[in-house]
Amino acid sequence: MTSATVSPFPRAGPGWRSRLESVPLEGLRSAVIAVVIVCASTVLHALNMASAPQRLGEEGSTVGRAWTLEHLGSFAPPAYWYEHPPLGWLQLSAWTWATSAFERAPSAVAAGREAMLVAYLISAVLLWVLARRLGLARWAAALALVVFGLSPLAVQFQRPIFLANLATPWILGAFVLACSPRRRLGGFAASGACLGVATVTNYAALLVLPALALQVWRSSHPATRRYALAVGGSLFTLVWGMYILGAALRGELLPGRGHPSLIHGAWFQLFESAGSGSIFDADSFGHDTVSSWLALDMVGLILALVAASVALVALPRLRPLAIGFLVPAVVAVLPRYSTVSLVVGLLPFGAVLIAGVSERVWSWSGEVLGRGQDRRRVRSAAASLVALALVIAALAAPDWIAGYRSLLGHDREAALRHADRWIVQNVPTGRRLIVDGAMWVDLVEAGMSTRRLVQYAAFDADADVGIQPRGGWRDYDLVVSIESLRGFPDRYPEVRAALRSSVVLAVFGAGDDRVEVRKVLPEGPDRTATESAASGHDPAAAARAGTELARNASVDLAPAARRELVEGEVDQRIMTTLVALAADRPVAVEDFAYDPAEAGTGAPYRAVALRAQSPDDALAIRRILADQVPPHRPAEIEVGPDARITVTYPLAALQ
Amino acid sequence: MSGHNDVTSATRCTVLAVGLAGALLVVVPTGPGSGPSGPGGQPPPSTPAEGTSLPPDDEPVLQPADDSQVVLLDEEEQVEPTEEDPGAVESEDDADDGAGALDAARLDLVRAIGAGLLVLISLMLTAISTIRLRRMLHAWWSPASLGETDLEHERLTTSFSLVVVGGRNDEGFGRTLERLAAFDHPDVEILAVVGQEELGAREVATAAAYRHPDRIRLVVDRDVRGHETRALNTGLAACRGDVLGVFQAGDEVRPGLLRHVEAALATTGADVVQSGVLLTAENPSWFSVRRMLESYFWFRSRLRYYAQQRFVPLATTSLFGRVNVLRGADGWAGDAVAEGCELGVRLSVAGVPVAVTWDPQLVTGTAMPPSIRALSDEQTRWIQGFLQVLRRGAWRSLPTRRQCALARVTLAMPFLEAVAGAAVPVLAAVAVVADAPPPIVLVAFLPLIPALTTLVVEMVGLGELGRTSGVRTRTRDWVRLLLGAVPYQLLLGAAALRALVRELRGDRSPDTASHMNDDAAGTDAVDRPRLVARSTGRREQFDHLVTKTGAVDR
Repeated sequence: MTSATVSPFPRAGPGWRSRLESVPLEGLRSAVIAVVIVCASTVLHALNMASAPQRLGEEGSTVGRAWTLEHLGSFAPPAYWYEHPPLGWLQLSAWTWATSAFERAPSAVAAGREAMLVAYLISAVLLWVLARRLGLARWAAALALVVFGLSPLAVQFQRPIFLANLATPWILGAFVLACSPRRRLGGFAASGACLGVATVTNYAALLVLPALALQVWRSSHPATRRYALAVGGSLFTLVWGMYILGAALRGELLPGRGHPSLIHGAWFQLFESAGSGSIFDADSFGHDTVSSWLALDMVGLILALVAASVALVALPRLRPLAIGFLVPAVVAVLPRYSTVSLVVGLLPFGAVLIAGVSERVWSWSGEVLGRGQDRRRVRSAAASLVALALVIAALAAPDWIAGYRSLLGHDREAALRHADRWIVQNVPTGRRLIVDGAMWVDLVEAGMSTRRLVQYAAFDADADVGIQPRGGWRDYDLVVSIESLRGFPDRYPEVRAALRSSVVLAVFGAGDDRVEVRKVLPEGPDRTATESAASGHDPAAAARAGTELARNASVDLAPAARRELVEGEVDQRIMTTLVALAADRPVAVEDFAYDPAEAGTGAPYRAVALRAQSPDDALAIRRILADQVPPHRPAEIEVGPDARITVTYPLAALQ
Repeated sequence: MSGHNDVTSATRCTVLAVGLAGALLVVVPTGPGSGPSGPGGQPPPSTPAEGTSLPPDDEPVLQPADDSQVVLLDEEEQVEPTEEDPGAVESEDDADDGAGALDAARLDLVRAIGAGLLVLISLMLTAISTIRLRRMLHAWWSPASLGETDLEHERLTTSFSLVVVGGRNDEGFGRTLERLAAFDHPDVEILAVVGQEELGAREVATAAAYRHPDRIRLVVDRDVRGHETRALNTGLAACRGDVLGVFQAGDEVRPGLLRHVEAALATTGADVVQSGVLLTAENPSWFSVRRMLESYFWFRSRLRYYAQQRFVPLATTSLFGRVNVLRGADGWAGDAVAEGCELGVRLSVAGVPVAVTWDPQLVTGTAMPPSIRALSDEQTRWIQGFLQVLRRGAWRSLPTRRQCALARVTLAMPFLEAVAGAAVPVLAAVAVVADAPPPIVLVAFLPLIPALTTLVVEMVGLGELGRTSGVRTRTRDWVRLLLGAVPYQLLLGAAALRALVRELRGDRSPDTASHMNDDAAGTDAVDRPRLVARSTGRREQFDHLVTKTGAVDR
């Protein structure tokens, strides 16, 4: 085994001009197909992306941390205890800083999802390159892109602001580099570094490590294999080394009293956090998670599982991807570590496996039957394969269509936007709120002080590591409840306790994705507390007062307004004011109103539309009302054309 | 002009040294806890950083009634309780009065400069370490560069003259001569070149020539100093074959090497062949494994890279070249400290094709420096030689600018690598001790990434060496490899600085202390025949006989 290199060495190949001229049309055709599909799926992802699905689990805390990093220069509040590695938030924050996303976008969630769209775009391109490098035909690579980009399961879980979505481009980049046809050591080194970055973005990317190691082993030349693994492994480890070094420099590596630590955080995540429960137990978080995946695209998931098993056994070229699919899949069904975002790791591998195995089946059937020279058999076999594909597509179609309708048509974030506006308008200064992370960002951007707000995740604080818990839920006045909080109640036990001992003040939206603003009752859930007790409104007394007022000759009531008065649905303050005003002049009441979100919560009408006799009279009324002291001072007095006055009182429950 | 080169290189080195010293002086005295808190700064646990209140919204916000104040309703003021700003507290502590503020500002500026220098040096070190790693891995970089060629060549028609220079290691001299004489090539003559005053070497050579009269000739170099380059040139002048081969005393040459070289010459059409060399030691010291690996990666991989770039610094052992080509280049330069490098550069400039080969079974084993002092001297000479060639500027005649740039980097690399290798752990330690802000320390640790990867690659290389070349690797070799990394780098760094100083002073004297070989103490009575007594007595007559007839008078 002799090796020799001679100098002068022949020049290293043709110049760039001739290389450009020799780009084959094949390559262009490939590029066009890829571009078309990627554009179509990106558009699909982008449509309605800020509005559906409603923010899931971790999205709020993720976007919250990105915001605090950009605007406050650190990950706190809430305090960082290494529950997730920081690089994902750093990347998200870098994107939002570079594009001023928080200022541009209508809400924090919209800003974060923009970044996810970009991550999806990069992942889709890399997926195509990976499929082609693994030797898939163009149609198979296109199929992989279609499954990866257009499946409702994919859209549902690639839109939200998960750290896993930020890690996916890095994982795919690592595989693309490892499958490079030139098989250079630099490529393997970069592959290891990419996986290192992916794992420091999201711990779950570690599950891909065995698959990538196998891929590097397979891809490298036997003589350079050890060096390939050595440089790839070194760079992977050294990226982690920098992360650990960063923690050590802040004194937060080793566990100890009074400070958070990386080791403690990792240990907690691995061994001490509450398990997700068996997926076969109908009450468990794991069951809910997996059934939500199956509900979105059962056919796709089952096909992917089958393809992974086939590839593991029979297709050596796709074996690393099969391992990359099956390891997270096994973890997802374990009763311990299942999380919602694990499915994100399954998607790219599943897509390529489905495409690869389909292609193999097609070509294998062609070979097997082609040998027989029986044209009719070949044609019938081809027809039956196509028929099988159509059947599968027909089975998947209803799920897909329903998924699209939900993802493209509905605006599930509307309720949250209304809730934001309501809170800003109606919650007085000094009241403290427990909110989800994205709402935290929106409210802070709207001008609220960070001292008044706390995120759900802040209650994970642990005094042992020096993070002061925020005094418990009893120190807060309001809690906002969203769908994902109600859906996974054990995630934040403190917040659940607050929810249990609270009454509803306002409801936005309806059904499962409604948003509730609730008032916390620190003394605990009172069995006898009625909804009206929260607002301090006594319907019986109000009815009496209202009947009195209705008999007042100076007050001219519209019929609907009269009925509302008599039934005791009007706020006491309005009635007192009307009585006072009617002493000096005739008052015409057109309507009573409240924010529609407060309907059904037992809150009284707190706004009244009056008509004064003249514009001067209207101004006089306004002056009188403005001079009042609380609690009779209105929150807003609006004087409209032809002496119409709308007076709104602040929410009684928060006074 | 060499004077101009002197000044520019001296200036560059001075600037570099000043920069390093400045970084150390500036960064170290900042003391604990005084660095500015960067974006990753941990807020004090008792008051979690809340941030400041934000400017009011542009949109009219309904102002809910505030108990404490009477506010007109159509204004949009936000009234927030005053909040403490943790950053403000810190800066107040720093600046008590006006003069204090000025001091603080100056200190901040000094810290900023220190941090900037640290970052700059760190990036430079990362670049150097990465280049070194890339060149080390060149042989395995891609399947194409594995470059496995079949060098079968049946006809053995070339006549070889093999020159072995004595004077350092008499016993090894004898061994090498015996091995060379044992080559089964039909047309080989061996020239044993000894200095006139090197009596032990003369005895050994005479004995060997006595045993193999048809192959071994004794050639005496009349120069009193017995300088190696002169010896090589003497051999070149006295040789009669087509191809000259050069070896050192003490080399272990494998049989079949000449066949391999001839095949290389014929297959590749080269005029010069550098065959693989590995440093071996009988009594390994702690640094032996590292030095051996260094030579392995140099000959196996880095020289191949240079061969591809048509700029090959040659060694002075296991080197074969066509005699007419070597004579046309006037042989080795007498005042060169690293004569092989110097010759290689001249040949590259002249466009002579050079082939670099490596066959694990035919690797020449050459002597390892036996002590730390010897190692330091060897490295100093090596680095100084490269610096000397750099200053001489023969490389400036290379045809393209790219080649000139590559030549400049190649010749500076031994010095840069040695200094960088020593500076990397020092920089990391300084950054930690000086308590710089975490992002700066992370940047200071960046060069450790290629450095630690190099360590892993060296371990893989040791394993490969053990498997392919039959080098025995025991556990203690692995341990020495790992633990000896930092001391070895510091040793090289010191040798590099010594080389720089020597080169700037123009001190080209060979360090004769390093030429004294402790292993030469062995006196093998078998190799000292009665002829010894005769030769010391009748030197002139003996000389005359040798140079005239090429045979020893019996």
